[in-house]
Amino acid sequence: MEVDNTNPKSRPLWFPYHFVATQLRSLPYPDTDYQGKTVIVTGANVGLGQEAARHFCRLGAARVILACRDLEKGRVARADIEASTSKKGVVDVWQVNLASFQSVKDFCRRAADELDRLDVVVENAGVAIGTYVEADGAFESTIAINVVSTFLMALLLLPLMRRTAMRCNVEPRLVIVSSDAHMFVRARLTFFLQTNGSWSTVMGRPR
Amino acid sequence: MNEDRYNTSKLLPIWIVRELAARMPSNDPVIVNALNPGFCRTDLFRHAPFPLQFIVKLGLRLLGRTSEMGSRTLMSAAAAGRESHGGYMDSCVLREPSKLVTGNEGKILQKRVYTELMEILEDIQPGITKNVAEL
Repeated sequence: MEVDNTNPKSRPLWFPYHFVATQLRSLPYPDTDYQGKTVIVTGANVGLGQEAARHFCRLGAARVILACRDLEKGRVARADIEASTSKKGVVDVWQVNLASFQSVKDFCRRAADELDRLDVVVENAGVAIGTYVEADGAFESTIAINVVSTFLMALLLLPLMRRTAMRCNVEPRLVIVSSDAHMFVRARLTFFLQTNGSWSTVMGRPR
Repeated sequence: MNEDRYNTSKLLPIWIVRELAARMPSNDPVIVNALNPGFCRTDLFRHAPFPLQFIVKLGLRLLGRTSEMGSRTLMSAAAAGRESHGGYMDSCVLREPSKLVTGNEGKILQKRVYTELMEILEDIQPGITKNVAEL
């Protein structure tokens, strides 16, 4: 597979060109075979998650689970995917609210109980909000959802993925949707390095 | 400040994925990676305040990927091989992360961010950190 080794020396010079070039580029149409495989996609009722779920379904997945906060929206997404792929009985909608750690635990418990295998987990769900909203554990929501719950789910699903690897002789995938927005984090990091502060405190979790 | 929180919430997982891959057993069959989906026409920006909303919508119309095109980056990461373990993919290609991630400060922060996350997760679900290194 293609590896890009043009390590940018200076972000401000390189990034705008890179951004425009890649945004305008047509990306390879997915054609990997997912015959017999089980996939979980979070944040799958709209956008990237829904389209990824649609691809997995089209590519032969046996089960595609849309992990959504809102079951009704999930069902609408399921109907849409079933219509465009003409495949019934593949897509399921499971509820999970990433702002609640108990909800994540319950979701993963359900996966361990009900799924006979788990081949791919696409952690796509995330939020971008302007106001300070508190989530579980007194964490700020963006951090709770995009970071804490994402890896809570990841670690809780690892055992099932490893069992799948042993039984089915596959290499399961855990995919985390991040962003090049990460390059635009400002001086706070230096601050927290120097003050020995924790990221959860700096980013929003009153102690 | 608010955008910084989002940007940080996208930076931390890159470090955590790197550290996870380093700590998972070398014969672990699971492959973990992270990716950049690019600037896409999705509902992500629905909470952006008024003037920004307009700029974002304009930008998306000119340069934005459709959700389907953006989803191809997710699909590439899901199909990527072992060379992507702990890595970061951009536009369907494995990419050397920025110096922010891998530089001297980055190396220190990566460990610290990971350690703190494990403490938090252990607090939420005691015993969970064993899942990393135990097959």
